[in-house]
Amino acid sequence: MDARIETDDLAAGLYDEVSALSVTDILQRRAERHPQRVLFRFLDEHGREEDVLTYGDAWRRSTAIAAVLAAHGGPGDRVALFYPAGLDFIVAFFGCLLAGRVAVPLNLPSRRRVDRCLRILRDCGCRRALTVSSLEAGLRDILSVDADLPLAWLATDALREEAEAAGIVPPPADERIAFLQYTSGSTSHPKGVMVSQLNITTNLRMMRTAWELDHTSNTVFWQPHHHDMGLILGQLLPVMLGNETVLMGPNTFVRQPLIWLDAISRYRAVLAGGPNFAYELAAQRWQPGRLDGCDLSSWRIALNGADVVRAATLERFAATFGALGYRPTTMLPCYGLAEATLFVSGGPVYEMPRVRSIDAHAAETEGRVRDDLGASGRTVVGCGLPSDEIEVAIVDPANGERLGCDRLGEVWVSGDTNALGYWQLPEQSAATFGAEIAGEPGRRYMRTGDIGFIGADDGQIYLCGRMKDLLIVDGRNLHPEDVEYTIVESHPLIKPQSCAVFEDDRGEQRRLVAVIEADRELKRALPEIARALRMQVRRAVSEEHGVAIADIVFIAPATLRKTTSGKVQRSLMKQLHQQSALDVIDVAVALDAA
Amino acid sequence: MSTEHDIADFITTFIADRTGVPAHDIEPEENLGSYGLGSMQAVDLVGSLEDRYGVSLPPALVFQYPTVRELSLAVAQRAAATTGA
Repeated sequence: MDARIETDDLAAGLYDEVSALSVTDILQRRAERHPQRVLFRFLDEHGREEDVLTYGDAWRRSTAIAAVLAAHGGPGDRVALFYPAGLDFIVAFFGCLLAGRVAVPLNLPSRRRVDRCLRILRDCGCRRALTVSSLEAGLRDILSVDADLPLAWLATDALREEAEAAGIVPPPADERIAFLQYTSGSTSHPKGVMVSQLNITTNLRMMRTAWELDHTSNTVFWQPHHHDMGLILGQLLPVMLGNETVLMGPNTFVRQPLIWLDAISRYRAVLAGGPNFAYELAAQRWQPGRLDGCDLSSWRIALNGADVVRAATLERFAATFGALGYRPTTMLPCYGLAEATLFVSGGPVYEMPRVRSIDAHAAETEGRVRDDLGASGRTVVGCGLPSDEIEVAIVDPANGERLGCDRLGEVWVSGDTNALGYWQLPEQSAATFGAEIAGEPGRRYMRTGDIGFIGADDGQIYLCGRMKDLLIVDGRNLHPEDVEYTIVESHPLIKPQSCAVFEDDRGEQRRLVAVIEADRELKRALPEIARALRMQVRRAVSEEHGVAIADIVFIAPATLRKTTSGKVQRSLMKQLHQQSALDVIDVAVALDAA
Repeated sequence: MSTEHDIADFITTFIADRTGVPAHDIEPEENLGSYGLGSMQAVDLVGSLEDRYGVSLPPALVFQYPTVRELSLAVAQRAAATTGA
């Protein structure tokens, strides 16, 4: 405790000095000024402190790794990072940046996910991989199936006790690529977002300003470090703030979400958060008597982002944890994406989240947002004001024209937080990152693919969906065509072009729905095979894509709607499904009769 | 004491709740992965079983016993061992 008080002034003194520096430059200065101050604590699966990393240790260990990396290959080489939850990842990441290498944080590949992992390694042309000693042999084995992919491995935890390497100079906060973020793109075509040193510094500063954070803003995070939220928010923001951060593994949180809340209480955290499901899960898993003595009154900002923010969840969470000192104004819905490094909008802090009920029909047909306080209104939650360092525009995707407030269109973002593009995909990069608004030449915008509007009375960004029928499951993009293809391939009686997959987003939970058009042969067979067929379809989709098809609906021959060019009209099928206007073959009745 | 049957019902309801698959479509002998249960949800299930039955379970239990039938039996045996001790 004494050490903490002594370093507070030193940490505070760097606030202005670090504002425009690269994140490794900031780390070096903080390591010089307050080496003993704790940067990270890591909690084990029971919530007990397992490991600690001070600012001084973080710098020393990062330089030791950088020195090894610098001895092989050249600047700009990609280096894959395979790390379990813990404190070894961050020093390896900084080691890459200090050596001028491009870090590529990746999820640990299970046997099932090895294909996606190999595609990414091939896509970025990676020749070197970092991990910890305990995982090295297993990873070598799993990833050795590809002879074209010779990887040189280094277990960085073996360098833990090395002395600081001399002569390591942090890069400036410029346009050089710091890391590749592989969260966009499908499994078959991974897309690596190129995030620069300048992007990182800009985005960290944007969050610091928007949420009024400083060295006293202790944080608790459990998000995986290979994801943009876990990396930028959980691992890098603390370095700019000079605060103390408590980390735990995603599995610790999911198995026992109350450990997260308990950590917020014990470490007097100011900032903590996650996607909407995290709040849902914590409220679901709460039981009377658990968390007695827990005090959430220090918690000032509960970030809610990376997924649809649901008003019902906000209410449930506040009702469940209000007695422990949690305040409803703590909840801070926000918006961001890897293509903008992370953060785009969120705030103002300490105010109630904005919830609007809009006329869904007017929004869909006219692109106009009107309030509808009746039962048919669609509830949307405001995702906050855009950072004042960027410009956010709502644009008609058809003609590129700027739209006014309360008009529905695509969200476009402009500013230094926009990533450089997608790794080695010049055409897709130009289309996504180099858009211009009609009649406003000279200013480049990044197209988010998200549909939303800016509130006329509050200036907040409200999100209403995605362009291109894209399905988003657990933060992953899923293309409906891919899922439909899998379904068609799963059984010979399901014919090509006979299937529409979409998301039913009416309830609290998003459900994937597959509408399958039966031809005469399938219709005849259905009473016998419907149950087994549904199982087979679910099995195939789950194996291929790792997601659940909640509802499988068989419809009468020739009732699947298609365009004149033969394309399946998914949004029309979705509309018909929600209005119960599909010509459904009632298999259950047929089954009972049989 | 919690019966295997009760635990199987709890697991089936959990899968239906988390994945949206109707409970009557969930087969006792089918691999839970077939219902799109991801690794995160598998850990959520282990934690929920621990909460509900007051037992300590290995996080990878669902991967060792991947069907409703196998998993409910495994949990019932552990619950019995805990109360017996």
